[in-house]
Amino acid sequence: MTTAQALPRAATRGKWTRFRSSLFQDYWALAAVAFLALVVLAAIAGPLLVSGDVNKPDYGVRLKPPLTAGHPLGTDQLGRDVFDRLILGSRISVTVGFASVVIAGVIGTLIGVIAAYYGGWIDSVLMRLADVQLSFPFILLALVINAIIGLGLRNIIITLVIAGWVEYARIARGEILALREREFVEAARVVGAGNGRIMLRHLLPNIVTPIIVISTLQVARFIVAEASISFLGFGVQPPTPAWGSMISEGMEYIFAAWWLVTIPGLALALVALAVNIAGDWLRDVLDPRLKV
Amino acid sequence: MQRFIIRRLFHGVIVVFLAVTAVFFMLRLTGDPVLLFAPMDTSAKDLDEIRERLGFNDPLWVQYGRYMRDALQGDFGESTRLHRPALEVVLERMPATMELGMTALVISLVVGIPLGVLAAVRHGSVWDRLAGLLAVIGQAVPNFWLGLLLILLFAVALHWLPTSGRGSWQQLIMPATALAAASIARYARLARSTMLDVLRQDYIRTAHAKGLAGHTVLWRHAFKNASISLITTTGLEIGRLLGGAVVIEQIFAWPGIGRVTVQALLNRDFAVVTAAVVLFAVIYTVANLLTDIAYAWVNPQVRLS
Repeated sequence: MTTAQALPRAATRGKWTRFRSSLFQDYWALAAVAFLALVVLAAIAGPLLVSGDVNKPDYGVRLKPPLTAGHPLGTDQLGRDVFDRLILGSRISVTVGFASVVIAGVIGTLIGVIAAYYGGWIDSVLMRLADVQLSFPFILLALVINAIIGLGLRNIIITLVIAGWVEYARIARGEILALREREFVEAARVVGAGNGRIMLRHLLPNIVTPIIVISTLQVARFIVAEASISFLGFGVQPPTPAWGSMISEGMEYIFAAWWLVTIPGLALALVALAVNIAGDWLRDVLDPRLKV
Repeated sequence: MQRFIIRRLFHGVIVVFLAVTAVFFMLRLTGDPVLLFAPMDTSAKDLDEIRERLGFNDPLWVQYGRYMRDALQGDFGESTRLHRPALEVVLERMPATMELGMTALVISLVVGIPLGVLAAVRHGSVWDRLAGLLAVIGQAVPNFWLGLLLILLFAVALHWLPTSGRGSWQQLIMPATALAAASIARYARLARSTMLDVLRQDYIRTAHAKGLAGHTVLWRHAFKNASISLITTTGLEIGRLLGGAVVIEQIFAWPGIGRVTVQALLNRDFAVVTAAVVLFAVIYTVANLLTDIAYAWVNPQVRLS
């Protein structure tokens, strides 16, 4: 019994070592993970890093370029500090990225598992629903949903969950269809495991890897989607600093103040880039054959 | 082949039908449609009158039946803002979106595929790494930000190109490039990986051993086989470009379906939104159908399954 318990733990430790050593060999992945850690820290510590009310206009220092004394990244059309707003904007991106990916991931995976496990009409209905959703551009779907359910941070998370669960459902379904007929499922059933137990304890653990890999890539997709939606005037509303709405406000001053569109966009692009690099690395470590 | 097309067409019709249904119920279940377009100070009595006149007091399934009957005839109602049939408002914007989307598609094919092939042939070289870097960046950079950077560089700083609008070829360059960037990255990635797979095959070695010229083997033997997977992604890619156009059109004031849809959403002009959503679904379905047909034509195995 003791050996049986010790074995998986040793295997886990081996995995972590492999994880760490592969991360330190891949400089790009290391840089990406470090950068993302920094962004998450900035998001958590945000209110401590900024001085006072970031939404309060200060007309004395309107449109100051970066490297102005006291304003390292300049000020916007209302004299608000771009650096402070950027830091607080990261809270929105990080929150949206995490929350919508986790919720969409859990819901989508469960739906996919259930559809594949039971098959029949449940599967047909769910997959037709997925077909319909996939016959629209993701961003259009998200815009329409957001316009209908309303603006704000909470609703943009709901929007991305509704628009984004399909991806997970399809992957989970495909994986489970392949696993369903395997002997260990039959064995579990023979020893008396119910459907719920087979799905949660026997099937689900086997599809965790692809779900995790997709999730990292989805984080980037959802963060950019939130920014696009806020940029178009839905989602998070001014004066709340979200990177997308900051870019949209800056667009009106594109001739006078290049930094207003460049800086929040650069932050957004770097986060998306870092998540993609980290996701690629994670895929290579966890399951190199996975094509996502 | 004929049966294959008919089956796919039938599938497409079902998807569009379900999409129209979904839009109807989403709009009806999430709010009073009259409140969406009536002025804020309309009295309760007037609101009731509008509801009665437009049939919003009927049972939901009666409304649905009427809505479906009209939709089948291409009648999605009148734009509450422009006071013209919604479908007309959307359809007249289609050529602009087609022009933008097709240009972007051509750019991504012409740039992305040779880039990927080059990376595969010169595997491990500077070209390979450069293509890899471009692919990663192209995939991560948000298209609307790229569009704004192009404006900053070529319109604001250099004065080479106009910032927005449609009419001349100069106005097409920036939006089409910004739209194409992500597609270029995906095509380059895919072309590279499939070409690497194909180039390792035995029949390629045989072709070389027969003494065929290098470029004949590359294009006639290797690329022809690799192109199957490139064709299958084109349908998906058209869909992605359409989605990208929704945002890009807004930045460059490009008068296409994307821009009219975003404006209709901002104005809560839901007749136009519905018509646009249906049009998107139809374009998507047709693009996928054409891809399936092209795929079946290239790969006879598909037709038989």
